Amino acid sequence: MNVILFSIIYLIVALTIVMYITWFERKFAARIQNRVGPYYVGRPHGWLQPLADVVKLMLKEDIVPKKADKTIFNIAPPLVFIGALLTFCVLPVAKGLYISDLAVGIIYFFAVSSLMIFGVFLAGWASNSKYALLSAFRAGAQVVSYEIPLILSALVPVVLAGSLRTSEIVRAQDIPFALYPVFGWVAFIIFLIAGLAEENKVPFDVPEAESELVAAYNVEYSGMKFALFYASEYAHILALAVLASILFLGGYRGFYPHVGPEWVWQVIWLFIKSFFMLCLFLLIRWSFVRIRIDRLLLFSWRILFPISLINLFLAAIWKIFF
Amino acid sequence: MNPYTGIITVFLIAIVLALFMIGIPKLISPKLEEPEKYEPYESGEIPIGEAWSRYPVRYYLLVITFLIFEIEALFIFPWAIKVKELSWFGLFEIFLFVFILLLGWIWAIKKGALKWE
Repeated sequence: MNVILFSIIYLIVALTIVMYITWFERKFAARIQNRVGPYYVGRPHGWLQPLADVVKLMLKEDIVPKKADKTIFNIAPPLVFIGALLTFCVLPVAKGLYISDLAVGIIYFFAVSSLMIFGVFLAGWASNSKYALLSAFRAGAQVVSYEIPLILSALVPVVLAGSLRTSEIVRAQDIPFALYPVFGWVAFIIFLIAGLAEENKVPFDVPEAESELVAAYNVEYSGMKFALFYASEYAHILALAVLASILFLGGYRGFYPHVGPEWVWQVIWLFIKSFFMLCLFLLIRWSFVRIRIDRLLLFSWRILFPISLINLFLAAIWKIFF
Repeated sequence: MNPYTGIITVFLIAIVLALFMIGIPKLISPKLEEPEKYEPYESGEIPIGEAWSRYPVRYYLLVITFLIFEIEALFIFPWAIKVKELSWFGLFEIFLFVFILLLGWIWAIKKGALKWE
């Protein structure tokens, strides 16, 4: 009962944050491009904009193309959404505050987040539109290519902590793993790059590529089904930002005075670290240009993959010595 | 406490939420039938041909390569949590395993499996 109540609260908070990430990104992008961004809906700085967007999308007509494979077309958005929400299960927000403390936490995270790519590919395929199909091909190839560096760099904290449990990994970080000389830095940077690629964000946004493929695998979707894709994309960004701060930045640990309940401070620390990661993602997103698809894939296979493998062995040797 | 209780709860909540988010607009959104609306989008042009036709897809070699190394990563996981206990012997074993697969990786690159011409 306790777990059920807690997971409902957890998801409500997470989805609210996801809604506000979309608002925050628009403001952030606007500032970078010397604009103001959403302003009029909700007076100081358009803070009601995400709610207005939801209402607008709800009032949109739900169009299913005549030539599309209707069953798969309708199944794909919920599939992506479920995959995105399930990733939150193993992310603790404070000591003892988690939906489930799986012994195979990290494997679970990657297993569930690769559910999303199935949904994306099915969406692109079922739309029976050339843009959507090409985008789905690209998304599949890209996520598949960057999954390996991502997993191998996430293995470095696992090796150092000696556990796949996320809470155990946090406990092992008296010094954040990102600060460990050489292999810690390299793993963190590779995780950042591969994480950006997993999210299909600029400079790795070839599946989206507004200028050539119009939007993405979701060209044919409208209304709330589009919103599901959008929400799960941002939910995945949030999940990856939290995972990065848990794996490399010490998660919910930090300095705090022993005043009030401990978990509040820990949640605040995790929030600060995840927010930092998120800002890093957004900053990279809005300052670089898009890379061509073949170079993108080769970059992963030729450079990131061997580096992350060597890096993992370095971490293992270090672990054996100390 | 079974750790999967929470996961099943989240799974059910996600399904309900997704159905809810798709179901509500069905009740309140307008429905205006127009034949053009149900065509696939091709930047305003009249769509030419089917999307489900043959493509020169290069991605399949990539996916096969991916499968190999994904399974490799999966085999590294159990070693990764026992690095300290297995010590040098474990490191040597896993290095041998990765080395054999790396030969395949070098071969794939030499063969041009990851190249686009």
